[in-house]
Amino acid sequence: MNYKTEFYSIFERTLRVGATFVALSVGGCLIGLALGVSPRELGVAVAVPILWLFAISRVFVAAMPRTPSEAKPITKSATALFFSLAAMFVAGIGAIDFALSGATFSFLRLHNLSSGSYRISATCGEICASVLLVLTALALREVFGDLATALTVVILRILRWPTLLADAVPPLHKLQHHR
Amino acid sequence: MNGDDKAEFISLCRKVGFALLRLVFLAMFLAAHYGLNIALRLVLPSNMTKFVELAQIMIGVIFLLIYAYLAWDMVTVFMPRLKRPILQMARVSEPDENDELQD
Repeated sequence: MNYKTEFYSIFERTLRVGATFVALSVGGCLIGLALGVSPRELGVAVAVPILWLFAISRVFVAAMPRTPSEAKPITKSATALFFSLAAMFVAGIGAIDFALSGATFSFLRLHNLSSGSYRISATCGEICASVLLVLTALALREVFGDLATALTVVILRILRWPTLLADAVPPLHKLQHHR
Repeated sequence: MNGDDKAEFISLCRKVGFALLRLVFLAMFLAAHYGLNIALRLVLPSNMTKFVELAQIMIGVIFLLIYAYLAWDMVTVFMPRLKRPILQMARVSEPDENDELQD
């Protein structure tokens, strides 16, 4: 795949996903306004649950079976059991989203981040910086794979100092022999 | 540098290129975001401040989500296992040299 094809592919995908985000955001803002959320907090109040929903969906996508043999086909899709399972699944996702969003709001309030565009943009900047850091780490791992692995082994060995200390102590069965 | 190393290096360069392409998109959307915000202030009359504020919040949320999506897409360039497996399975019949970079 060349860069031109990839460019059009990203553009198409972003527009498709963007349309979903527009629908979710407009709906969320309208619900927020109807519930009397102040305009200052509306942005965070709408964005946080959608972002968590996006994250949950990505986790599910990553956890899906990789090969066709692992995927179990649904034979009796129209049964009451299927619908009740589907309802439970949706309710479960909703509950997880609700809990995570609630925790995020509490965190933002605790750190006085819930209001003020400056604070929000600072948080976004930190998130972007973190993403860049992860990308840099991934790129470095790709280039200096062996070196990074060796370094990880050394760090893990240093972190395992309590076990190493325990290894230095004579085993218990030897002590029992001396009785 | 042997053949395998060279191929790996080329693959890495391509991945970085694809990631940078997403970064270009991010910059484009950022420019569009700021452009829209400025246009809203310039085009709409000054007595519609509340509406402008609300529209800016809505646009901000939409673009924030798009930035998150592009950032995620950038991560998947380096970790293709996180992509949608159904689409990867569907493409098994028509293999591509850079299959892992597609969505």
